[in-house]
Formats: sequence, C-alpha cells, structure tokens
Amino acid sequence: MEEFIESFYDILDETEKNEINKNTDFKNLDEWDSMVTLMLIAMVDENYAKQISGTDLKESLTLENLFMRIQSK
Amino acid sequence: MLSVLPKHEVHYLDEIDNYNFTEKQSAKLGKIMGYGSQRIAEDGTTVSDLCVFGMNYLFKKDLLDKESIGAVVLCTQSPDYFLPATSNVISGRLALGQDVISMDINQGCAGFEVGLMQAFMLLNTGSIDKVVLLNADVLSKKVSLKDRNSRPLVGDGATITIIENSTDDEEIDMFIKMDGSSALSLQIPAGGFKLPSTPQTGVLTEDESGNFRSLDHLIMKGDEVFNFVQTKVPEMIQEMFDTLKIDKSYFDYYLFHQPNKFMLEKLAQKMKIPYEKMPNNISQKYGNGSSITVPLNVCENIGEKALNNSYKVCFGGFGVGLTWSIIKWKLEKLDFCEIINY
Repeated sequence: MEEFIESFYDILDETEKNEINKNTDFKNLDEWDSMVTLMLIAMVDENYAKQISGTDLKESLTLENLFMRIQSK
Repeated sequence: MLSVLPKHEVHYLDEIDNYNFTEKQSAKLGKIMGYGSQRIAEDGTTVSDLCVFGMNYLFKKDLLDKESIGAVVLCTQSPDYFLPATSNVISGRLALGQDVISMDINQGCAGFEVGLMQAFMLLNTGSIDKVVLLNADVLSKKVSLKDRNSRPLVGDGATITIIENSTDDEEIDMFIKMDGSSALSLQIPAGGFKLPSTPQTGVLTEDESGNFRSLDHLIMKGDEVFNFVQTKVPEMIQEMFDTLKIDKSYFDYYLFHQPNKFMLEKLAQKMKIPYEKMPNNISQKYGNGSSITVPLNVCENIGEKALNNSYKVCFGGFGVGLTWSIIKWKLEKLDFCEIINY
C-alpha cells in the first residue's frame, strides 16, 4: 500500500506530497486528467502485472479503494 | 517501399491553445507522450491524390513498370467515396489495364499486415505476379481540433509497397487476431448508414475530461486501447517465439505501429526489447498515420540501407477492430525505400 501510494505520487507533478495518502480522492485532484490515468494504468501494469479498467477507476473513490481492487484481481 | 507525406506540418505546441487544459498540463502531456510535429493533408487532398502522386513518381523514376502490376490493394479508413472502392478510382486515374484487380480493405493500425495477408493470397492464386499494396489515410479530417486525446497524434499520408514472389524459400510467418467484441473502442460514430451525418451529429459536445468532439469525429477509449495493446501484443510476440522456436535476439528490427512514443516505450519495456531495435520516432515526427506507420518506419529508419542489405524484421500492428498482428519476415534488398513530399 505504501509503495503503491509512493508510485502514484511519482506520476504526479504539481500535487503536494501531503495531499496523497490512502484516503485521497484521486480523481478530484487538480492534476487528474487522461494522461495521469494512462500513466497510472501503465504503473499498475508494470509493478503489479494487473490491468485496471475505466470501471475500476470509476468505482474507486480513494487510493485505498483502488489498491484493494488491484489486489483482488 | 515508398512513403508519400503531405508537405503541411503542424506542431503540437502551436495548437495547445485549442485544448481545454492549462498550458502547463498540455506541455507535460506533450513531453511524456512525445508529441512533436504531424503531417496533415490540406483540405481537399484525398487518399487517391496521395496514392496517384506516389505511383506516378515510381513510374517516372522507372522504379515500377505499369504493365507488370497484377493487383492494387488499398487499405484505408478514409476513402474518397462510400462507393466505388477508392482502389478502382486510383486504377482509373493511373490508366491501369482491365486485368488489374483492385480492392479496398477497411483496416487501420494493423492494416499493413492485413494488407500483406491479402497480397500474399493474391500472389498465391498463381495468376498474379505483382501486387501493389497501398496504405493511405487522411483521418486528420475526422479528428476534432479540440480533442487532446487524438488530435496531437494523428497524421496523414500514404505508403506504397510492391510485393512479388521471391526466388528463395524463406518462410514468412504471420499472426493475426481480432476481437470484434471491442469493435467500438475506436470509432467514428456518425456518417455511416447506422447514424448518417446531420447538422446534429456535427455539434461539438464536451466529454468528462474536457475534450470537445462531435459524433462525426473519431473517438478513442484511450484506457481500453492502452490495456489491449499492453496485454495482447506481448502475448502474441511470446506465441510467435514459442511457435517458431526463436527468441527476441533473432530479429534485427522490430518495426511496429507507432501510436505515440509513450505507448511504444511501455511496450518495448514490457517485452524487454532494446529501444535501438525498436525505432520510436515516427509519431513524434510525422504523426500516427494508421496503417502507414509500419512501412513509413522502414523508409525512415532503414531507408537507403535496405537497398544493399537484408534484415530479419518483425512487423507489428495493433488498433481499430480491434486487430493485432505480427509478421516475421526476411526483408530482402529493396528496389527503393524513400520518403517524398506531396
């Protein structure tokens, strides 16, 4: 989980580190856009060998929710 | 092989103002995705214009004998007309004989491989000795200027590949798969018979990420397509290695379709193919011209060297359909391999 949050933070450019934790509503970050989405998909594929879909993102509110979905795949 | 590119060049940074994103965001996107310049056809330039121009160049330079052509196969998704087939229009404009078979194939980013498959079948009939494979698109006309997902990567152009039987018995191996259940992941919703274009289908609407496009425009589900490529292409490469009992060191070049720099980089990483064996410069320099990217890749990155050397190459395409394909090919010395401007 820690690692996942760290890797997610690495994708971002303009967001402060203290804004990123397991309860972060990541899709409401100012920086969130289609490119961050793509980079997130790529990161999960690389680090966890799992594919996340648009539905996974839609149905996850926080980073913790998303991480749980990845784990259950 | 010959590539024909429209002269007109568009630069990503010049168009940033069209998008509904901050300049900083768009600049970062450009850097990561590798957006640079694109070749865009002038309004009114059609697929047949680009192909006829290229063919006439080959005739004039004595690189191709008109009388030797047995068939013309055109792969495009932006034909001049619904009907007739654009390949027939091209045959007519070139005054090819009545024995020349013409046919169109509707394929995009895997269209070079699918076109080759068709060319091989024609050669196998025994009555055709030379096939002209044309790959051409002017799809930029169907991409919204305010669509930051697709506009920065589209490119126009044509390529001409001449295929004839060789004298050696080198095998060509081809792997093609299609998934029609994801057919609409990449589409132009309106303009066909299902949903004819009307003033209403031309109205721009904003999507959830701030891109504006109409139903007449190309729309791509970027995340689905990305997942598809990252999963299916490495699987197929592995299948090829296993089936043919070769490994990744076998090939001199992996000449793949280039949607954008980011995607191909991720693909190379995943398959552990060194970057120098998998050129990744076409989309930044010319844009993604659908089925032309693979032959353009050959012209740009092997170019003149192809006239005097032969290479073991792996062609790869993936995209609309969804379709994905790879070919193992020994590229023998080519008669020509260059890029010209229209």
